[in-house]
Amino acid sequence: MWRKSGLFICLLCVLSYAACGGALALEAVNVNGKVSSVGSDTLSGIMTRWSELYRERYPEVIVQIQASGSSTAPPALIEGAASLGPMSRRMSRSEKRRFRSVYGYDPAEIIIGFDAIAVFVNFENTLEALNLEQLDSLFSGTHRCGGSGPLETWRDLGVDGPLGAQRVSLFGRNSASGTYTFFRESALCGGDYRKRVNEQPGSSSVVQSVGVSPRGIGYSGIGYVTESVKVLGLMSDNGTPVFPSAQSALDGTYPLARPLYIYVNQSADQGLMGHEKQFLDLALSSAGQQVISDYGFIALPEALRLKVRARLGIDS
Amino acid sequence: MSALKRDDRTVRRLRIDALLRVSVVSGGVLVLVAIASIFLFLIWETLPIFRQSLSVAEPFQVESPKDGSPPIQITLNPPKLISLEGAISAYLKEQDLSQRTTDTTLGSDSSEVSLALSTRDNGLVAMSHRDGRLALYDRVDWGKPRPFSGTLVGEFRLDFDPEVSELYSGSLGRIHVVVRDDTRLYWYETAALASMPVTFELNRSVEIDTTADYVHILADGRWMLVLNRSGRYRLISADSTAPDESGELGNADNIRKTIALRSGYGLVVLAGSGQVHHVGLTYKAGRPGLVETNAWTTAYNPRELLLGQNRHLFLIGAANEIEVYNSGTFSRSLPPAGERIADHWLVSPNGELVGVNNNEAFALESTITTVSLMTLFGSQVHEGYSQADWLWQSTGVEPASAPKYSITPLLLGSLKAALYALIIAVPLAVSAALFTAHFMSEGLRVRVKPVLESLAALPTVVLGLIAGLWFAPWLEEHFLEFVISLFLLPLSLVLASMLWRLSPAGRGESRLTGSELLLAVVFMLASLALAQAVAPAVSSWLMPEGLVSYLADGWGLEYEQRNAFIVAFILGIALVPTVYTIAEDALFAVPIQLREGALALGATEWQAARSVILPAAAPGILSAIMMGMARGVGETMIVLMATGNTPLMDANVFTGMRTLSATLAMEMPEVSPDTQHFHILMFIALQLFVFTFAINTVAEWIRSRLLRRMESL
Amino acid sequence: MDSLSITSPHGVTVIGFPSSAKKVPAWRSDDAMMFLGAGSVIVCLGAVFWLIAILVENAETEFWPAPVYHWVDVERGQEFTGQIVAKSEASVLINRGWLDGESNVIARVSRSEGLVREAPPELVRVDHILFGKVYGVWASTPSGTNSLVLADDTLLQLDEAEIIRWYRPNALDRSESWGIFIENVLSFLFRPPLNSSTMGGVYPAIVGTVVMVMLMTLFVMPLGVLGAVYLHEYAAENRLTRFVRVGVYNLAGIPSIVYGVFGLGLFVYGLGGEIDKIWYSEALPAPTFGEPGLLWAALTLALLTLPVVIVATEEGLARIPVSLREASYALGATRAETLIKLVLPLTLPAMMTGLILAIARAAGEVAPLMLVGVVEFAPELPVSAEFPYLHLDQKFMHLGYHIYDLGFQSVGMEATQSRVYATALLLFLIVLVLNAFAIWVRARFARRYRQSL
Repeated sequence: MWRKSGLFICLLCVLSYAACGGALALEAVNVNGKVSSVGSDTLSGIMTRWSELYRERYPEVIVQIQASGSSTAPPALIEGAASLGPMSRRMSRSEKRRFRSVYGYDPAEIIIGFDAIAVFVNFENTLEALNLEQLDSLFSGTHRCGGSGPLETWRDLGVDGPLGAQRVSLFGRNSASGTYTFFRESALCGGDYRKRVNEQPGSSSVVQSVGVSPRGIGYSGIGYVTESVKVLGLMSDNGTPVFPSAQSALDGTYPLARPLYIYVNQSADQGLMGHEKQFLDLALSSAGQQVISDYGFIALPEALRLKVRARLGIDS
Repeated sequence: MSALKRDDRTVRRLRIDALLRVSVVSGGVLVLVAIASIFLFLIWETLPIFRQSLSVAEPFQVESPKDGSPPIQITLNPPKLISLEGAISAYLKEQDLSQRTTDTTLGSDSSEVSLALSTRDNGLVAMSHRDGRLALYDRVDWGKPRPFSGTLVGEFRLDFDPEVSELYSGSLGRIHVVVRDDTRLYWYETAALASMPVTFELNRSVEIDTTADYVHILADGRWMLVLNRSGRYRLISADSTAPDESGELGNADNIRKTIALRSGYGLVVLAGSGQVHHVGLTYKAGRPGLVETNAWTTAYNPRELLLGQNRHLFLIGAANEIEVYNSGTFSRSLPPAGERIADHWLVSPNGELVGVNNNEAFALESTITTVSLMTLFGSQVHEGYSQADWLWQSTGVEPASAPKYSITPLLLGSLKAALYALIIAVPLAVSAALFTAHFMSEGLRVRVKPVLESLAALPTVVLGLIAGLWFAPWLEEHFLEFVISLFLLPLSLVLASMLWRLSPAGRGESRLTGSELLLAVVFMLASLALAQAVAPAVSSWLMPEGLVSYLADGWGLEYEQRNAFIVAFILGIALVPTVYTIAEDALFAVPIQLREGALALGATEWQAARSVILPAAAPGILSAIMMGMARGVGETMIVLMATGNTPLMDANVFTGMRTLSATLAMEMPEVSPDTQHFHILMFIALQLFVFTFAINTVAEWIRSRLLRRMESL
Repeated sequence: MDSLSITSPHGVTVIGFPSSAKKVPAWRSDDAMMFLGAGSVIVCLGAVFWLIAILVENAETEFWPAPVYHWVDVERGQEFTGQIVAKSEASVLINRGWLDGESNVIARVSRSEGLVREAPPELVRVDHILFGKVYGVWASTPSGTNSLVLADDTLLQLDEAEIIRWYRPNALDRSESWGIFIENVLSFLFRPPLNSSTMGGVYPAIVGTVVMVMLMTLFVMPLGVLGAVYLHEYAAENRLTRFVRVGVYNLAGIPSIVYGVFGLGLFVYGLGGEIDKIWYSEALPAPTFGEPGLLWAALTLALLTLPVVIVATEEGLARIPVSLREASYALGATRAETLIKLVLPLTLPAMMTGLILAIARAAGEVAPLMLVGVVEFAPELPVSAEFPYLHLDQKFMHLGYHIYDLGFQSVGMEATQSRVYATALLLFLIVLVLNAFAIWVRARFARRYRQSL
């Protein structure tokens, strides 16, 4: 039960954001400027596409995007190396504290969409679904989420045939990634990964590795899933598998759903300004949200989108 | 006139000469500075991880409560001491010592209430009334004049006078309260992200015997620990259908104090006459139990255990001995005891340790490392594990898991990658070097050598790409074909040599001129084709269940798709030019007289090579191998892309590894400067630097000695 | 077999085998060993061809106009239209282009009995700015040729201004195919990436690499030559100099990632931070030079390639006979004149070699750049017509990093696969050509130099 409430946090944070959002000053945007983004690799495709679109609006603007993982966003925002920090997880308390100690305010936190972490196997695998205890047993070294011990072979997961006797190859992300941290917090209850989990430096690399490894299992954002892998369902409490989808992620039945954020180095109290505001205007437009769906992620529900726009004063 | 002119010119020429001299020398010095600065910079950035200190800050004046009630909280900014005297009161320092604010939010009569502060979250306070009312305050800001104002989160009434045993704020805003009466423990919990005022649900109510001395909520509210003085414990699940677990802390008796750590998975127990035990909640086969992860005996007898920030725990003895224990990595330090004796010790909301006397308070400023050479290289039992292990998991989850920095698996991973790659690279490179230096005609040699040498500049990112995306999956399917080829290739070359010797072209020749190479190529291609043809048949005969099962059943080996075997070949290719260049130079430097002397004595070419040239050039080949080793240890992109970056410690050629360099490449962009993680990565960079520099220097020394000896021959 | 041996005063033993050369047997370990040595050389060179072959094979679809197929799976009742991305024994992966509101829809077509494949000549491939690749048939509507019937029978209206180009892949003859091929190569080289790097080219990455390398050359050449001249001409030949020389040579063996760490720590955080405090304080806390950027990347790589230049230059200096210098001094030339007018011109080829090798090394290096200034997407070039023309503080794209990024971090793995290999092939060829050029320069000047002496 308490695992599923991830979505409520984000709703809460949007609402709390609303509480502190003040009047936003309107100002002309300098057509020459710089938009630089450092952060999530999960969001890299979306950010790239948005900047392509943004440059159509403001061709003179310099756009720079670096995407090596969500953990790179807070340091970049603190050092000022980036004005936008896309993150696939929430900024942790200590990251916010560090930011606040430099600037004296919290960075503005804007929700831009949702993602579901998909757990997948090779497309030839016959496995259909896992329960959360099995997931914990597979990936965790400390088994804090109720895993009953290390699972080694596919037979332990109920797969028969020639694959059954073979060991499971585990693939995951590197530690800079928000996906890594989110999975660790929500599927491993904050425990440690096993040493055997292959750490790949990109989400698409996880998908690619599982796609060519018949014994592989891995996790990544749903947007990265390709034809070479098969997405597994996760067993809900009543024993039916739930597959990641916009529906199941938004209504909270899929346990590994998470909001996606962009952090901006501007005080939420004073409202957004400049290119950051224009960029978010694009991101939160229906065309911008279409990009999110294009990439396989989950766009904001219309009501929430309009609410977030209103909070940011974009339409004023 | 003309003499003067010439003088002018001479002066100018000399000036130019001097100028050039100065600029060249300064250029040279700049180069020197550059080299030295790398080394010094890395050392400089590494040092902070080993630096620790504890010092007493300037004391400030406070006034103790008049009725002698103990202080309950202290803040340094603003400096004030808070105690429960009549009502919640605070003494402000500053000029006016008598300035005192009173927060009457709680009521006006302190004799009717008792306060309980959460040990792990200093903003969470429970107040119980005699009449059974229990009120909870969250996010109490002790620095404000009225700390409790507006912080009430909820209130409920019990039908007995409650004693608060544990107060814990979990994830998603859940608050747990455990209260007791004489016979039962009542575990209350609020809903996640509940709106105000919250309601408390009774989670579990369990009967206790009188020895339930210490109660802690663990694992983010999934378990309640009930521990008695003699070390017997019960773990009660939040899920009432789950069975309780029970057990005993073997080494701890006469427990005097326990403190649960912020991780939610560990506690520190003070037992007997000064033994300190750190125990962790560890799951075995799905069932939790307490496992001791660290224990030691203090020379003094700690009277106080206090929880600071960042996984620090302060142990304070009767004579103010102060020890800081880091619960994440188990390093501890014993700085000199403060000279001031304090009556009370408190931890401020910001985590500073503050001593309070009658009329003054002083803070201890501490810089505490959480790693030492022991923890960086040795194995340890971590919280939540049952055995000592070497773990590299450099990011933690706040607060549940501490980051774990054990460099040993990375070091071994680097060595594993480099050594396996050398197994492939050395035979290839040395035999190629021997061949080019002594069996190849000069015309061919000057063409082949630079080409082979230039392979050193092949972009390793391309090699890594091919290794990771193409070779790794290909090898899993064509493993046998590949291995058969490895055996057939030399065999085909031997066959080619026999054919060549029998053919008219080869009669009486002692060196290859180039056309014969075609023959070798044809034979090698044929052997590759043969391998491809027979592999499926051999495969179905030898390993009908597939390679992975065959290795697992027949050899007990695990097979990962990204493994050392892949790295050995691709990194091997990258190392060949390095080893080749130096080995070839050494072999070619062997004076021709030696070889010809041997030939004149009737030795065959190979005998001359084996018995004369190779031994003479052996030091050079050794230095070539060492330089290859250094290059292999430092190579980044190939290992980053082609290994699974798994921090394992095994020698299995079919599993992956995580190397020092790949760790730098993956983690360096994410860390903020001046964090412990950053300095540890700098330490890794320093190790790489020192290791490669040392190996290269020794290799260079061997090589230059050899070349000098050869010149003298 | 008895052997004879002679030991030289230096301790080298020469062994002879007097009874060996009686007749020529078919099997001689000599020949075998010789051929094994030859085999090693062939394997090493073959490995390069093998790598190139893999790259070419996988990059082919990026350039050569592959046919667009229409598959009908009779058993499952499915239909697909698209171009093949990857093949395996059991199935093929195809890119169906823009379909159902998404670009680059990938599908897996299982090879089975009931699978029919055809290549109708009227099928069109449209490259569109927003939609990427679109496959379909031009609808014969009166409004012209701007609406396309897609595979799912929907009609897609295309704005002519947004169409990059269109052609009928199945109806191309040989020369038209070559035309498209050349067009593809050119657009790969000279256009920015489009549609999240699934279309367009790698032009910014090429420019970024070139500018960074040129900037690096500006730093490394003067410093390297000065360092070499100092070591060889000015420094007294003593223990310290030898130690320094070994130190410089060994810098070449220090892992490149360590240079990256150093560059990040000292240049970016240290130097850059100071520069910002002094000159760009009005922009703080937003850093100008206190963040990774072109200048720091160039400086880091300059440090990395410094030993290459020093070693090559010193080698060149060592080759010049002492007699030449002495002749110059005898004619009354100062040391500076000897150096500038005689020694350095003669060393020029060696310096050139060092320079080219340094460029080749720098062009292929990725690990340190990941830390000091390369980003995955920065379509603005670091050079522009706008003051100050060369933007030293800007982050830039780099070919090597582009490979790493596309190969491991791009979203549409299947859609970008051929492009990763194409980029890798490009980088590979650039480095090989640079190296070949270095060899050529060295050989040519060495010959001329030998003649002139």
